[in-house]
Amino acid sequence: MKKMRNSNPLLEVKDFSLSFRQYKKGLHETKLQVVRNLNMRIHAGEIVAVVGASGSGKSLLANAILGILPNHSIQHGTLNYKGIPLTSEKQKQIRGKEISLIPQSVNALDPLMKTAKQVQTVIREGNKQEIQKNIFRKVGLPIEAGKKYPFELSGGMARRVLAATAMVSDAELIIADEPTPGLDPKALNETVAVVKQLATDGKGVMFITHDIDTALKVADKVVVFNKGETVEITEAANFYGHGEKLNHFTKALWNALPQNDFWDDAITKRVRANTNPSAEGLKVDGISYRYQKGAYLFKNLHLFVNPGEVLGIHGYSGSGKTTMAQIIAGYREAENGNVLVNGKSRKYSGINPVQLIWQHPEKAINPRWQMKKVLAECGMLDSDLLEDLGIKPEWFTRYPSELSGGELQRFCVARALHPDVKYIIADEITTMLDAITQAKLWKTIVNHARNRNVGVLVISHDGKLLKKVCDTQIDFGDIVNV
Amino acid sequence: MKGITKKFNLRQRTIAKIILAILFLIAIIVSGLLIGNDKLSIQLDLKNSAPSLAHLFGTDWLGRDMLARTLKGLTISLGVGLLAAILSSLIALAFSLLASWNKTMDAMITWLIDMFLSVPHLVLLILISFAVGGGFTGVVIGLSLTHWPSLTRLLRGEVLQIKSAEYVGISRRLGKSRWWIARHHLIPHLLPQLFVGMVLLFPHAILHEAAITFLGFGLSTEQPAIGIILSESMRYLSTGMWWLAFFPGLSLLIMVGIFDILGKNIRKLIDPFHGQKG
Repeated sequence: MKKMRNSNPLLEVKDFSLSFRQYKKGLHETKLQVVRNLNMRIHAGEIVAVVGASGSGKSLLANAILGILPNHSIQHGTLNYKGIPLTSEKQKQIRGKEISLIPQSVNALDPLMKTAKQVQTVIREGNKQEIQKNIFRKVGLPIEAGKKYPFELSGGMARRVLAATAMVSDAELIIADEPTPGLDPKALNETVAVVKQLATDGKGVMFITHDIDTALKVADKVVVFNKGETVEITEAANFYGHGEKLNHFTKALWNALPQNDFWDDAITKRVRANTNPSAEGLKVDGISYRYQKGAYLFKNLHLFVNPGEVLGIHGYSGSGKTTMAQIIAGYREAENGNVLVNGKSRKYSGINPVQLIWQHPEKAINPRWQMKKVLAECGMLDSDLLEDLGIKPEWFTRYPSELSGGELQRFCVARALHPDVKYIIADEITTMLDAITQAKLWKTIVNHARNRNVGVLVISHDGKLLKKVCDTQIDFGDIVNV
Repeated sequence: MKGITKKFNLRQRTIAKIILAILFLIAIIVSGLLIGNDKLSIQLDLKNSAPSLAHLFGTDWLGRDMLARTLKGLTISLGVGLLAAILSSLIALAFSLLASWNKTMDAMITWLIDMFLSVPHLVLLILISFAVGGGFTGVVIGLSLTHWPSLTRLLRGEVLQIKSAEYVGISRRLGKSRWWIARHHLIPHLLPQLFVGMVLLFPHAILHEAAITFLGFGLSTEQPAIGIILSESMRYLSTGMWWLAFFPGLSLLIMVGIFDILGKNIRKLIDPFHGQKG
């Protein structure tokens, strides 16, 4: 009888739970449950995507497998690697050797070591230089990249160096923790190809992401995570049409993607482009910017947003979109050029008529404030708008750490929609959020922009989202003049 | 010991330590205040007696009870330390907020910090307390003017970090004034640091007070501060009266230690980052 080799998985997670010791009020010690009854398996040569919103506990799972959790955490259940339980001794022994991590941030590279050297240090036997060159060729890095320091590489190249490090380490299980956020489509496809290459080489890959779209591009199996619980484990092939083969939550998540239903086409009214140049609008008049005598990020950049218009800008990561947004909203000074709001130059006191909404809501809200103070700070008393955004009154007395990223981002949007604000710049505001929250948030923003005649400048690398949300789209590469 | 650690959780243990430390300090203060001048009176027939049940810390060359003197001395030292630590922290807070004003201001404050840290503490302390006339006020002013730099440096770092936080930037764009931001964003963030810094400044201030009093530049001799007791006892040490220096010195060390425990445990309690760890 032929024995199935598949029956012994590379990694098996059985009834795994994780909680943190926490003190909220007085002397009572509470346990904050972050992961509950998780079950999953990864076989060799298989890519399993773990999908969930930020804060759903997926990165913690990766840390638990590697044994790098903070020391006030308590875990239950079993983690088996090749059928052997992963104790902390065992984890110390095999992490970096048999299990390796592609970290979330490219900051994980040593800034003072040339990239080839960094990859070579992981190789244990054989001709190090030869192996490193081969791996660079495999992931599509030019050989000269090995002689550069990480800061000389683009974000996409740095990610490939990280992947190369994981590939040469002879690890059999690779955990990729959000390797793709903020990447433009080209870099994204490259990263995806690298991960697929790993699986073809017979390694097991756990691909952690919040982006279903990317997950489906790589994975064989998808584990959907919500609030620390596994909602569904399903084949990637089941994601098609209106998600008939998926369960309730996953279906909603799938249908909320921009390329699917998104928002039931509720908003159709489009604003005619205003051709009169003297009319009201947000006018960016020939701004230039560069870092310390370096190369220009953009030169003589012109942009015009009509009131009530939703204008989308897409472009490659690291091309200076965020810097432009910060200049328009008054966070940075341009080298030259002007930003005019309805024909007038920016005021330096009082509320700025152009408000920027940032990518990470948890950084944009004072962690020591209750949410009602956040609303009081911006004088936001429009209860209809709050209701529209789905902000519940019981959230007012909570602290930011007690709300999820999506809930916090709603407050940031509410804050930006002050009556005196005429234009909003949304800089990748839903990149870190799950699809359902993303759809809801955009629905409210676009509705309000239309009703109150507020101009919105949307910056995103997600072409499908822009197509759905915006009246007009501009390629950032076309306006930078460099 | 293992049983106790198992029975109570981390926060309960922390609070227990804080309460014990505070009780100990209160005991010192109360006993110091209750001891009148009659306890310190001179009884020449009892002079130079070694520690016994009647006089736990022994008596000195004038027959005064050393336990009473030590407690009185500790109370005075505590008062000096408390005043100096509070004044120092206020100076540190003011300077760190000023440093957030603009780059020139920041450079000036940093320069001031560097300058004060480059001169040995004790030299500056002696100079200042001497210049303002010595005595209790002299010591307090001297201590508070020399102990702010390290705390200011810490707070300045915090301020610079919060100042560049996104939420502060947003607050500015929402039209809030500098003062509003300082009151609502910066100071609440600094308070735990400030408080812990103050408690940890305490032992420093007390030790330095004892040091300059010992050298003869501090409190006057009729106030039995620990420094005075120590410096006087030096003359009698060679005649074998070890208890004159040993017990007061040990008490001072214990009090400083208690403050250190207090500060560290309060930090565990109010700083979320330290609080959850073992």
